[in-house]
Amino acid sequence: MDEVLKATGVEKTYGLHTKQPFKALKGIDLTINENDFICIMGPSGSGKSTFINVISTIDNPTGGRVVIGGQDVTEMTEEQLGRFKYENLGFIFQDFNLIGSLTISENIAVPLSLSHKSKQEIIQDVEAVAKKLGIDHLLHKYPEECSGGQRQRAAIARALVNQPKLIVADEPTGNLDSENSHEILRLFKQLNDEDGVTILMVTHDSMIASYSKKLLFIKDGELETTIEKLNKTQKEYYYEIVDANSKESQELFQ
Amino acid sequence: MGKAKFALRMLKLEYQKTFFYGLSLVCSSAVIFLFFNYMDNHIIGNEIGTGMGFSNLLSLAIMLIASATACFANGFFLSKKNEEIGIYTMSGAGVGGVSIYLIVQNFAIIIAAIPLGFLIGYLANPILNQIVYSSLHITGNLWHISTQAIVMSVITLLTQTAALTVVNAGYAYRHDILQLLHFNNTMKAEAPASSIRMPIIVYWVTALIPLYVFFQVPVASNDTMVFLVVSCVGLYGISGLFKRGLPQLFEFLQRHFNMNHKIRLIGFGNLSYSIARTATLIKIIIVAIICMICLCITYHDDPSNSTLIYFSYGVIIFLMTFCIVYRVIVENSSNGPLFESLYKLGFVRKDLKRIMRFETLGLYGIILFIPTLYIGIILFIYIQHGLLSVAIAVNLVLAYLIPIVLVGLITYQNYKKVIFNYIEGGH
Repeated sequence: MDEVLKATGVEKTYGLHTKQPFKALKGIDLTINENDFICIMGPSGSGKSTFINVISTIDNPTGGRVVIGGQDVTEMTEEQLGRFKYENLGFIFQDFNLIGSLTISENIAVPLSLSHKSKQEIIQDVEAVAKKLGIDHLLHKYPEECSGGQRQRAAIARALVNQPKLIVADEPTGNLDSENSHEILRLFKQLNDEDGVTILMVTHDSMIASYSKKLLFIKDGELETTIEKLNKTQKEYYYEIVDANSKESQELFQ
Repeated sequence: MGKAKFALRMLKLEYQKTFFYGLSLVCSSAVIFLFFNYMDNHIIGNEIGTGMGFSNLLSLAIMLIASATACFANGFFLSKKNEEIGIYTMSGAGVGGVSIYLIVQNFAIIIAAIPLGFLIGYLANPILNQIVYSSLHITGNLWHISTQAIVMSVITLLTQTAALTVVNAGYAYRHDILQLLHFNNTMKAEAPASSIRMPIIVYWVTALIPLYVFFQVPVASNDTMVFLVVSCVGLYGISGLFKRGLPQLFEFLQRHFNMNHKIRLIGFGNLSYSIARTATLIKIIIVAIICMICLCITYHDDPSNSTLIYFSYGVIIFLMTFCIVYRVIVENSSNGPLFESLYKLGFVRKDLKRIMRFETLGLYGIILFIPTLYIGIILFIYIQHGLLSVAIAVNLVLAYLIPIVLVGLITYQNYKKVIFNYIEGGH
């Protein structure tokens, strides 16, 4: 399987030139292959959001290398990085980050507007992805007029419309109720299983994490545990995730 | 520690947040002081309360506009303090406690700003008097200060202070803790306010009718009332265009011509939102500019009154531009999350700057274009009839054009600073 992302010895230190620098990431390695569905978990302040920001080009590492699709993103200029982002990455955020002054259709079209496509092509692509995600009836509505679940579907459509190599989702269900959360995760799973979309997701929720194929547990800026789903059922995988997640609490009672 | 002492301590620690607010109060105090001194300068024959009917009206207008400016500045001051107030409320302070906290801080700023404003006004007074005396070819005491003017200035500033006290006292009552802690408004599409929906064509026609009617009305050298009335009719149309016509036009342009244009796709949406949020202020500015220019035309050959009107015109433009800066800065500061998302999606700084420039140019272009369209025609007609010189007409237009262009530049610089600070993690 083709390698999508390779992070080697990724470090991030905040306040590097101050008296008290803080090392948020202490040399993490990660390889993401095509069709992977990886979930990152960890306690608050463990560095999971920093890690996802660094490997998805939103933040710069202070050490190590990040190579996506064969290109070292740490060596790119801002222009190259911008182009690289809309051609290779699709972002999904906790609070949807849709633009309130644009309709759903225009929101989905935003990454396409960066890619110099014609108006007709953009409209076709938007309609196709909206249909796939079941939001084609919402295209002329504003985000304010849609429910949380519909807004997150629109955000997913925006992330998918450029057919990126990797989807990066930071707490995508953080603002949704449990029914909508599971619906979104079933959609992720379907995109991963049927269309081969590669997904990297951060979550706090073990149940949400159980939809992934591989779990990375980060603690104090280091990769502590890796769990792979392999042939386990979702239930077995879920219990293993809960176990890894509650390891610290279990040690307290021993 | 008592509430008042705590409020003063926090004010001292976070003085940067109050800089703009303090500066605006200093400037408005100085301008008000200068204005009333001019209004009550017996050397040039001006006296408050006697004879000049419209001078009293002008005083009232200046008082109201000065209070409105202070309220806008106060709104900006409060928006910077939301988190601080939220934490204070969470720590157990009630509505009364928060009100006292804000009122004490406000009074401290006012007590420092007003004397400083008066001092600046006092020092600038001889320069203004020199200009006025030389334009009227008279001599007199350049340092002339009127007691009546000081009283009027104090009354105006007390009105301002009272308005601010009411606003501050009600602030904590109108906001709960969550609102205060998460004040970061993001853009939302505006819902139509009225259930009675006039066809948009009516607004376009009403806004454009004056352009024809101006050429049909009789022109008199000392009466511009008819032009003012016709402009007001047009303003009804303009008001509807701000509310529905322009957003719909921008949406049309966005959807049909700019889906593949990364700057205009976002820019039109932002512009539409900015216009909807600042529509009331823009309308007030347009009315004020048209009214003042009509007065200037009416009294341009009456030396004693025309100087007073020109001066009032200058003061109103000055205070209004302050209002625009505050309003637009407050609105722009809520756009951080939008630009951060765009940056994450692949827009680079150059693109973000172009979007901000598009939005700022569009907004200030509209603020300038609409009054200039009406005023340009009115002035043209008066020049054509030989009732006004080209030099005066150009000066009247430049008097609002230059400050608004300057304010546009300031807004754009501030916009960039706020957004890039947000993206770099300043939030």
